[in-house]
Amino acid sequence: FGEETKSKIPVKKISPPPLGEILDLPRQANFSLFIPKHRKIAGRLINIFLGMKDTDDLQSMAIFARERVNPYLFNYCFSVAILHRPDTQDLDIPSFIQTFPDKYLDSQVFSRAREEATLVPEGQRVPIEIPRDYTASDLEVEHRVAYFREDLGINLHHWHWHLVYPFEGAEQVVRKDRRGELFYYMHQQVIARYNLERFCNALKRVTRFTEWKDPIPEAYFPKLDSLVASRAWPARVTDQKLSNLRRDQDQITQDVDDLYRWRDRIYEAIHSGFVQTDGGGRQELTEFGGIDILGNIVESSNLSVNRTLYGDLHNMGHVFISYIHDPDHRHLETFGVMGDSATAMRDPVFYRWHAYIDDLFQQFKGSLPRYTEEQLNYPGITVTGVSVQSQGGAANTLNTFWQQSDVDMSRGMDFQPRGSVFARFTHLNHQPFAYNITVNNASGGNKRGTCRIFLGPKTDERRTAWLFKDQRLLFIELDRFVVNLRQGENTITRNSTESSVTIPFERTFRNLDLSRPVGGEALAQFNFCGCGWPQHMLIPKGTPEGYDCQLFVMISNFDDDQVVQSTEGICNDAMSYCGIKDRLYPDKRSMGYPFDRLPRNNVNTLQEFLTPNMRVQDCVIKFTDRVVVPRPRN
Amino acid sequence: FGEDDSETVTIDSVPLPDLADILTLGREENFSLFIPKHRNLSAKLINIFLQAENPKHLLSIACYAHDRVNPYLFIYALSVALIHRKDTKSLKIPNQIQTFPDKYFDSQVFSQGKEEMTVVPQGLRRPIEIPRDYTASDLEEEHRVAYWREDLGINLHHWHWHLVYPTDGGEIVTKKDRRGELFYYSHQQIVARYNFERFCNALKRVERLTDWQGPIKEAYFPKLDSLVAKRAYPARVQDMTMQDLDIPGQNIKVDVDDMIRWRDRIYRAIADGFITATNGSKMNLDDVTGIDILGNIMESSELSPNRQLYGNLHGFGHLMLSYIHDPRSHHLEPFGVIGDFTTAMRDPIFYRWHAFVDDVFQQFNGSLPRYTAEQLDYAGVQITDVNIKTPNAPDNEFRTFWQQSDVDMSRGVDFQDPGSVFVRFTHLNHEPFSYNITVNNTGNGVQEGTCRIFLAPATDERGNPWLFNNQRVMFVEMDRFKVTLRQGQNTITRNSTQSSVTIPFERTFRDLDTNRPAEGSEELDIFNFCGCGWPHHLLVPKGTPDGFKAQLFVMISNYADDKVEQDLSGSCNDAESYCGVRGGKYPDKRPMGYPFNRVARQGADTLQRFLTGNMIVQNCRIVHSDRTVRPRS
Repeated sequence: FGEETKSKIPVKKISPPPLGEILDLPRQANFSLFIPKHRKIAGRLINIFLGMKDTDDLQSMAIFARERVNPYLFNYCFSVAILHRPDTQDLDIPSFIQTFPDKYLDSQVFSRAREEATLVPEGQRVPIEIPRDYTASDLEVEHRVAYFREDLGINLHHWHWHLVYPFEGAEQVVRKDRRGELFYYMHQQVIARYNLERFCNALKRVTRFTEWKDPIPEAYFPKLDSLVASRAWPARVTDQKLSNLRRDQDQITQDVDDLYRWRDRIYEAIHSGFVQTDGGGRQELTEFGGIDILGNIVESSNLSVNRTLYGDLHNMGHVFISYIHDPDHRHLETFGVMGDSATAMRDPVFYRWHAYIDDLFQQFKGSLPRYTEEQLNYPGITVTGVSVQSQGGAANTLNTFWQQSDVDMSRGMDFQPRGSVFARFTHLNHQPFAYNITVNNASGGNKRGTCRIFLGPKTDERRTAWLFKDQRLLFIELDRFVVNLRQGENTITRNSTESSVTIPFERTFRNLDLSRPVGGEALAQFNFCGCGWPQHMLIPKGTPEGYDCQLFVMISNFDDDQVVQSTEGICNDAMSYCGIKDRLYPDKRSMGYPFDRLPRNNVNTLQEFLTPNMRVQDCVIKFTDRVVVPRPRN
Repeated sequence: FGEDDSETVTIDSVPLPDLADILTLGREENFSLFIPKHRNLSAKLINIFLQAENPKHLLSIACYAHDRVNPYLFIYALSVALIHRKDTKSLKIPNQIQTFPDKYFDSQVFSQGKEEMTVVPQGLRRPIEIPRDYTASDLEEEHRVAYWREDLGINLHHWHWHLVYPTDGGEIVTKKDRRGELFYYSHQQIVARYNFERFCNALKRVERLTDWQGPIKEAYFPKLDSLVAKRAYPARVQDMTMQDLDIPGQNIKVDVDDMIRWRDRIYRAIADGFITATNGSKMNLDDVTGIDILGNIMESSELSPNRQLYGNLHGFGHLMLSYIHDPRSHHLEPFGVIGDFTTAMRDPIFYRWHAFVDDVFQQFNGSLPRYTAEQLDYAGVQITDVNIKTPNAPDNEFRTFWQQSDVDMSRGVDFQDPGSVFVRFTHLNHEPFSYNITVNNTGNGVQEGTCRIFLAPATDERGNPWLFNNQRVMFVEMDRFKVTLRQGQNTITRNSTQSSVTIPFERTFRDLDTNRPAEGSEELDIFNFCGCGWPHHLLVPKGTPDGFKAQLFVMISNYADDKVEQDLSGSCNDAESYCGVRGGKYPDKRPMGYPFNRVARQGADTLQRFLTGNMIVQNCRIVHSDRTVRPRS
């Protein structure tokens, strides 16, 4: 709509398929993948995009749909299609934060940005600063970890994860190697990271949300406006209760009692060791494959073996909570932030719900055989020393601080492109550091291993020593990589920025127009990989006096880890939580290994758990309360 | 900020006022006259404006303040100053709905408005239609009267009333004839009108909010964004309970128990028949000035004789309700709609609160001596007949329908001004009608009287006949005017549009630039003050399709007992019933609400028994037809 739209793009004429019920979602409505009706029409639109016979047709179809379909729905389906068509590997997915900044930034920012874009010529604009504490104050204890919950990168990661792993749609977009298990593992790690962050802020572990008929003490006021719906995201006040849902427009009729029934059936399956399939048959929950089946059931995805029986527990939990303020739609209200994977992680209740979901998975994990010493050890391999070293810091001390960064939000500002407008936000960051690991290979030959690095809190909330079975759930993965071990002494040096968990800051907030590679392999890589924990949140905040942690390093036998496949040229640098595009999950072990099961007999503490190929190093995370301002842009 | 900003206004350089703590209210904060801190700041700013030597200085100071002060606060203070300065009578007060449309319209309208302004050239633009049912659905019982609560005109009237009658700001702006009594009466009438509207929608009378420690069942989701605060007005979900407030940022600290203490002291004063002033002396609450004192105490205004003892019951009730979602500011939330005069009447809880407030006043009115038949009658004057005529309708039938109208909102859409953008909204309206009253004057010579017309439901919610004492508080005032009666038979014809309660539609929604009368003319003077007045389109309640049964009451009282000596020429007095007259005394010496403001005399159990010869009751029907009339193009 700018004045200078001179370039014309030739569009191929196609006869577009009827959009039908896809248009049932009005253009100004909010869109949630948790709502079955929205999910269904998203599946249909994705299929239409996937069914286009070449990219020209796809483009024409996209232009046709864009004019008619709800913008959130369109953006989601088109992104999924681009990710999953073999012929669109080279196409861009616009960064979500630039298309819909309203899902990430305080509503006050927008009018200021509009003002800036209208009044100030480009070049003289100053970034609009977003205060760190705009959603609540420290009177609200839960607000202490708001910097984590409301981190732009974390919410972008979560949105992207669900973009890569849709739970509904065609077989080809849903059926991915171990997706159910990855649902479990990625969210387990979110909870572990959240709990560690809470410890750093003198909060206890998040309480599971188990009493679904009791008031929820946690309130949340998102202070976000939806640019598409032109309405504010509804808040949840303190002590609200779930109610039965009667939302005809969204085709949701669900009782809280349904949740109880699904829960109890899932528990029964876990405790009896098998699930009942659609056809009435039994499917065993095996030692390695069981968690994947369970993940698909609990989430649920359309890979669930029996949605009638096991329902849609995790998704409907989101829906119940997101409609808590208007369960029968009498006030014509839209859902709260919990109803949208782009915003759900902002809300404290997200973690209470997922702590509950995770506990369900841990019930199952607790029923599995424990790892024996043989399954853990790597004969002949001994880790003899571990240390971490920050740039210019003391050994075994990680340093964190506040960092300000700018993100361009002009793309999401209404319809007038008038150049860049930057929002400046403050987020946690840490000094880059390196691991130095010494390994002795006494096996009599060259060996390969997988080096697995985790970090956990040294003590529990009472400052008492951990039992291993509790501490294991708090270990967050920091890195995982293959090492070659010569005979004798080996020294491994690995940089924090190489982490298999994270993607770099620039990728989380990439500006597609400026930093886009020209083509070929680099571009392909650029495209897929928005999924990944944000590098700036790799390390928890710590405390000013230094928070005591334990760094755990293990080298496992690559023979038992290896997945034979080519991972050449594909984005695999955040594979721990995101897997690899179009490939098998690149680690044959159960996700979370070696912490995913209860310990063998007589192992009560982490020290007792160790075999020679593991080592623990005490370290501290020191937080400095200073704000580093961004480098000036050019 | 438009491209054609070629016009330059010369501004006198004046000694700049010290804005000091006025600036402590951030430019992006929301502004509420219920918050004492905001009230104090506005009083200071009003005084700065009032003290400017002449209009030129005022302009300079206003320019200076405009760039620095919170926009809501600025507009409020400047409007009050313009109304109250003698030398600015001919200056225009900006219309709220054009300056701050965000306080009146669904937030979705704004993005559409912006789109329309940017994409569609002026001339081709179509009005943006606001659906009538955007805040809730009929699943919510209370939503049946949302068309009334959320009416733009009603909310504009309420804002304007409080602009004309500020609670604080020094004697020039607060000390007005019978302001406390008018607070009582205008709000009593709001509750009566609301109840009437509820009856038409098969709802019972609004319940007083008396349990301040129990959950409030009415929820309200305003779906309004504040353009200044750039935040949505918070909603109130079902079953929330008022909490002690502690909001340091706004300097608010009040317990629910404080409210209970103030209430009990006020009840005690009513029972005792006197209040205690700050110096410990007693002030009687007599049958003439008692209600005025009580009004100032209840609201409270700075005219309250003892704010220490009687507190600020009505105002803090609003605040407690408006901060119910975040009473200790843990979540840094702004107040809800009930905390803002411009938006408060949208919320069902407004009426529950004011039903309580009104009941306190009725307690007092109930303690006053009853009117005797002699006080009510007008010897020698009998009303022999009354009827109302709506064109093309049977006698004694009111006709209501839905009307669409357009209002320009371009002024409030950010700062770009490429022409007008109209919003089309739907509101209740009625066919114009007239009263025909036949009066027999058997006295000697010409008599003068005040004709008082009221309307009330014919039965209660059960369909049972009323007791007078219950029906009397249901009567809504329709008109009040002076009549001159010749000897013998007189026929009085009065048009509905002449009502002393209402202002015309055009004035409620006036566009200041296009409709403004010529400079210096008398019309301009009238034009300015008189945004206050019940919107004419809501003079008559909605009725029902089968005809809601109502009773029209007409009385002619003795003008000798009504008359107020003053010169009324040229001042805006066409909505005097609820708004008074500008700069003058309230133009009716009787207690406001007369003759329904007191309990009936012995034996007068029903309206019929209450009547004296100078009164008459006519049964009539209000027929609603569910059609929508499009605006004239």
